[in-house]
Amino acid sequence: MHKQSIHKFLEERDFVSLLGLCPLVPFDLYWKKSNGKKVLLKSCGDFCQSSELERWISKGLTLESDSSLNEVWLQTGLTKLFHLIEIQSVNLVDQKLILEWRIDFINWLYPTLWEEQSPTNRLDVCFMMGCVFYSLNEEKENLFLSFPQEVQRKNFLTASFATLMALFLGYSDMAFLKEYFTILLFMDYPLCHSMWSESEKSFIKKEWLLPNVEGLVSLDLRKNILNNYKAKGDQAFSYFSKEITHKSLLKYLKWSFARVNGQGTPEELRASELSDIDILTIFLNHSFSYEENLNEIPQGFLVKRLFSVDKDFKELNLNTRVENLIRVAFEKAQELKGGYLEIVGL
Amino acid sequence: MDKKRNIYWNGLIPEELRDLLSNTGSQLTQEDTERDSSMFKFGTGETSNISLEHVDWSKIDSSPQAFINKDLFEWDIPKLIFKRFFAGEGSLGPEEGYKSILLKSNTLKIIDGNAIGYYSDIITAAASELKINPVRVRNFTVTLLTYLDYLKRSDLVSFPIEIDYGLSQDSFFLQVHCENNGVFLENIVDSAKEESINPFDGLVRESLAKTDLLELYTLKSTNKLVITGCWIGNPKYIRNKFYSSLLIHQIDSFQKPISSSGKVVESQPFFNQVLPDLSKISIVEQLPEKYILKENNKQLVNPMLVKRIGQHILKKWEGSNITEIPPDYNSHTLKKDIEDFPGKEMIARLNQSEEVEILKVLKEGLNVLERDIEEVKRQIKPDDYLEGILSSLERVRPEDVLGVGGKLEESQTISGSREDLTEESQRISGSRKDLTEESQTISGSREDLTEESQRINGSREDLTEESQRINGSREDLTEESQRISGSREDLTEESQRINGSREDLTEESQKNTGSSEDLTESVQLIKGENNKEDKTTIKGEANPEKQKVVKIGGNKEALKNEVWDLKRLEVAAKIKEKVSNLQTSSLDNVEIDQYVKSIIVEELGVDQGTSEKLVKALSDNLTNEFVNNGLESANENIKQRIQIEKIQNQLSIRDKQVQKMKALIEGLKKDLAQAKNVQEVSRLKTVESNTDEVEINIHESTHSSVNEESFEELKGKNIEFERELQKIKNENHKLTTDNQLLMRKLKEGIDEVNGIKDSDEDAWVLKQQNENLNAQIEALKKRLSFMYENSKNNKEVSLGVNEVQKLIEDKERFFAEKMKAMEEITTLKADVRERERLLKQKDLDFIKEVEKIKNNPVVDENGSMEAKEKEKENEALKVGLKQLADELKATQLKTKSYEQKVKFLNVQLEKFQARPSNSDSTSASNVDPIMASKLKQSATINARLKDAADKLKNELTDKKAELHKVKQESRAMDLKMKDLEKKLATILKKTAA
Repeated sequence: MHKQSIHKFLEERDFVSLLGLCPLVPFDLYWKKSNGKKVLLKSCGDFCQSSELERWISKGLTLESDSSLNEVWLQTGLTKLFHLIEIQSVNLVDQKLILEWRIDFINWLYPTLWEEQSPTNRLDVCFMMGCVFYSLNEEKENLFLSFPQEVQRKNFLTASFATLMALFLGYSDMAFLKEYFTILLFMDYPLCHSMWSESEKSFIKKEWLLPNVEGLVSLDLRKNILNNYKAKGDQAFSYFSKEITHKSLLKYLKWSFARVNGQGTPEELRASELSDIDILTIFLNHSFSYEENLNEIPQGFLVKRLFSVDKDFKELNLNTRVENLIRVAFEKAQELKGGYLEIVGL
Repeated sequence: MDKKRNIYWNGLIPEELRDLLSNTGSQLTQEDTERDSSMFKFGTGETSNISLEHVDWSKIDSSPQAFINKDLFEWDIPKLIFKRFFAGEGSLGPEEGYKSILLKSNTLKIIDGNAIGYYSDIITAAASELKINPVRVRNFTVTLLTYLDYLKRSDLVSFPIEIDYGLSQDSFFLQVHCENNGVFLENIVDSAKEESINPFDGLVRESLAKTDLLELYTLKSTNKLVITGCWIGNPKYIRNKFYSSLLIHQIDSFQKPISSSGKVVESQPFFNQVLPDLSKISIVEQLPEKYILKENNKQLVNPMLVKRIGQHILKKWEGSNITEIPPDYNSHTLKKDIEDFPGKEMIARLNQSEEVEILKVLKEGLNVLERDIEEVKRQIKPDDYLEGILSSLERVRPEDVLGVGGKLEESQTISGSREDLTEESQRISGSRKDLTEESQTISGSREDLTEESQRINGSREDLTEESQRINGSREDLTEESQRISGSREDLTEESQRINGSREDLTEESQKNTGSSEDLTESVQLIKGENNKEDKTTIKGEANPEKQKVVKIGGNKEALKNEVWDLKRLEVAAKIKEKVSNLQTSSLDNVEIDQYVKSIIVEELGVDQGTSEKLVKALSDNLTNEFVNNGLESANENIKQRIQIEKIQNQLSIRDKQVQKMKALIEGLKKDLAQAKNVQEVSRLKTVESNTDEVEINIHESTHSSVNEESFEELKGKNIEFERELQKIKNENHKLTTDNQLLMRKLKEGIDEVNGIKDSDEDAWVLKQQNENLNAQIEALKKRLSFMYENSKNNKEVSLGVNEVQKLIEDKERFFAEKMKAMEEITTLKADVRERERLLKQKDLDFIKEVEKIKNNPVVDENGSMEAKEKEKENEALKVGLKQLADELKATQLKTKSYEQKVKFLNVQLEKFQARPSNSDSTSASNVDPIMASKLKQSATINARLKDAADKLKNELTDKKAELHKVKQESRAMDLKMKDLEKKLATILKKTAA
């Protein structure tokens, strides 16, 4: 089904066919009735279950989209990513091709993500990454779609941007990235449990914003909540541990409150002891808030804007090394030969 | 990583190292103190080839190891690596530390192990910018990445691997890190050894060979395994020695049982085995039980006993000219040799570890043992030491005493002894006052000459002791008894001694005989008697057991005994005097020895040498006692624990058996059921089919018979199984009861070891108080720690002992105050209750008196006249009241009747008025005069009635007012009555009184 839809999309630029790949609905989806009236099925930014979609299709409904996507951009992006999948689908992968591909990819993305040159917004990025890396089975999809919408949006944003930037950092294995994407979709799994009261939920969100804010709640309550949260995180850990092959990814499920300067809970981590992808995960987990609207932010500068945060935020969440790596990757993309990243420290 | 470290450097310390360490807070020493487990061991390796076997792998868990070529300190990147290591701050991002020197640095991420060659080529290309041999770099990278891939397949490590590498002017480094799931030291060790079958083993060793510096460590906070390699590219660096430098730290070993002394448990099976395949390693999270048992169930050794047995055997060998321990000497031959050792019970109770120690002593000599014994002696408190010496004085045989220095045998001394008695009595009294412990035991017995006379004669126990000594039988239980008595009453503090003495008489025989040996070796004079022993004899009567054991032999040499006792007394008294004079200063055991020696020299007239020997023997004695008392209980505990574990094992085995039997039974039952079904089916068939009855009958009979047989068999088996089950259950039950008994015994044993005898109540009370205080302290500490946790801002809360004490004092104060308040409250309550009671009584009395007054005739005349008048007036008033009330009623009735009349008349009037209006038109003239007259009449009647009613109303109001007044007056009169009555009462009282 996927290949057909891809071909259909590539030939006809029919985005609707791509909906089967990604649950995110990046446009207003209408059902065009026989009498000409349009019924709004899903608005932009909603999430649609694949079973729902199949039902509509099986009923023979004609679906139309009223899209504001940057179609050209999407098309090239998707072709590139599918090309990467092709490269890696042989037994003996030609590493040189991968490294060349990476340079090409970064160069192409430079205008949109690092400069304001073409009108793309986060919706495009999310949709693109979702189409390529989304790989949840039905059970997990149901679980994901049972989350409240704000959580879905935030996690989807986090997942797509994190995978994208992992590509820049040098992690280029598709299987690894797919699992990474999957794990990051469930980073807020503990929050979505029904046991939390409203006040507890608000506390969790504030704790997520700024760690260890004193006076917000009593210490005992805070401990209690964090312990429960941790227990749920452990649950998620065990739930996914059977299916994920790269075991080093599982720990992200427990890192909702993690920070890089040792202030995080329940894991007290230090930036000097973390690897690049760890820091990237922490950074992006905190870069998007729960009230994000996928459409609203003006276009361009997408990744650069992520780095233009205040010092405190950076101290909590980001390492200069990772930031520099990505900067260098972008700024020196044209100069890069051999495809490996240079650590900037001089 | 720890920040401050002590570094042991083996060899010349290079200047660069000193510079490096100057800012990091680590210290260099050149002493190798094994005990400090936080020490690093660095060596400059003078050997030509360093091999990983130089590494003391057993210690890496606790202290890092490094073998560094000192030339490395000149170059920049190695310097930084060491600096990072010494300073205890590690960063996985080398660019942060190496900013100033790196010319170039890159990073790579490897996600699977399929492209190792490609990436190693990239790294090699980067390194070849310096003049480094690219083959070494490439081989290092390939082997290391292969090793990591190999670990990944066993899930000990997770990919992606992150590789950082960089160039400086002189050197090139490569840092590899990945997620560590379960790599332990043993994995690296296996890969580092030289003898290995598996081709994948030895990768770390090869890596070491290909690089100039290899660093291995793990980060525990984020579970990372970090490996760094470094190459020097400067042509000035000449690798003369073809060895690399190695730095290993912070890697866990999963053989965790490092005992408190810092030594790793000796048996490490992992190192002795040849591992076939790393991928089949199962990482042991917990120790296997037998190691724990071994540690905890090791039996304890009495060094004194070992020493004596060793000396005994050595003497024997000297006698038969054996200088060394024969090669096949084991515990069996040891036991044969010991057979003539005096003190057979001691030997019988030798445990395995003691045998081992004895063998050691025989091999190596007594010096180490002497050291141990000295240490044990050091542990004994000076007070106990002194008492021990004094108590062991008594055990010296008078033979030895009297053999040297014949002065004592003169009768003069005996007579003198009588005089001395008084002196001694004085002395005793004098000395007893000094020491409080003794004062307890002495209760008024001082002034009894009879008792003293007993002493002179020697108490029964004394006599027997000596008589038996004279008889030469050493294995005296009486001696034990004395010792028991002697030792018991000496100390209120050392529970050990008391316990030891109480439980086993046999033990003490061993002690005895051992000590007697000591004393025979050194011929000594001892004079005087132990005052404490006297006390003990007085008190010793409490133990009837020991007295039974006492054999009262003949008083053959009572005189000698007397002299002996006296002399002992003198010496002991003198020792105590000196000690009491010096009690302000803290006594050392050594000093005590000195004093005792000097006193002995004075009193007995012997030379220094013999007195030294004597003193040494005495101190050996008391250490033996000291150790035995401690060890016995502990050994018993261990034995009981071992027994319990055995029984638990047996229980578990039984349980398994029971389960198996149950399963079997269930299977059999199923078979039975099936057989039954088959039987029934066959019978049904026979019922249905009528064709061939014979066959059917046969079929049935055979089938049924078979079934019956099998059924019976099954039944029988069933019964057997059930019986066996029951047996097992019974045994199970027995084992559990045994287990419980043993547990109880264990507890009792522990209690006995910890408890103190009831006779020493003070100590018990003190202990209780101690426990209470401890509990209080703990409670307070918990509270404070809780408070500390809650308050984040109090970073400097450190509970000092003072604060805790203050809190305890405060608590006590509050408690006292509370008690006072409670007492006050109770007293107040009692007062209140009493007062209430008094009040009630008074009320009752008053009422009674009032009644009396009323009933009895009034005595006083004036009062009686007044009373009578008042009564008359009262009656008159009451009568008046009644009359007025009657009149009221009458008038009320009248008014009611009048009102009714008025109403009736009004009605009539209305009627009359109505008629004339209606009939006005017709005949007004004829009727008018009659009606008019009637109207007039009725009107006048009306008016009169109204007047009458008005008058009556007025009269009513007047009467009411009068009533009211009268009532008031009557009330006033009542009050007056009461007052007068009270006055009457008082007057009556006055008259009565």
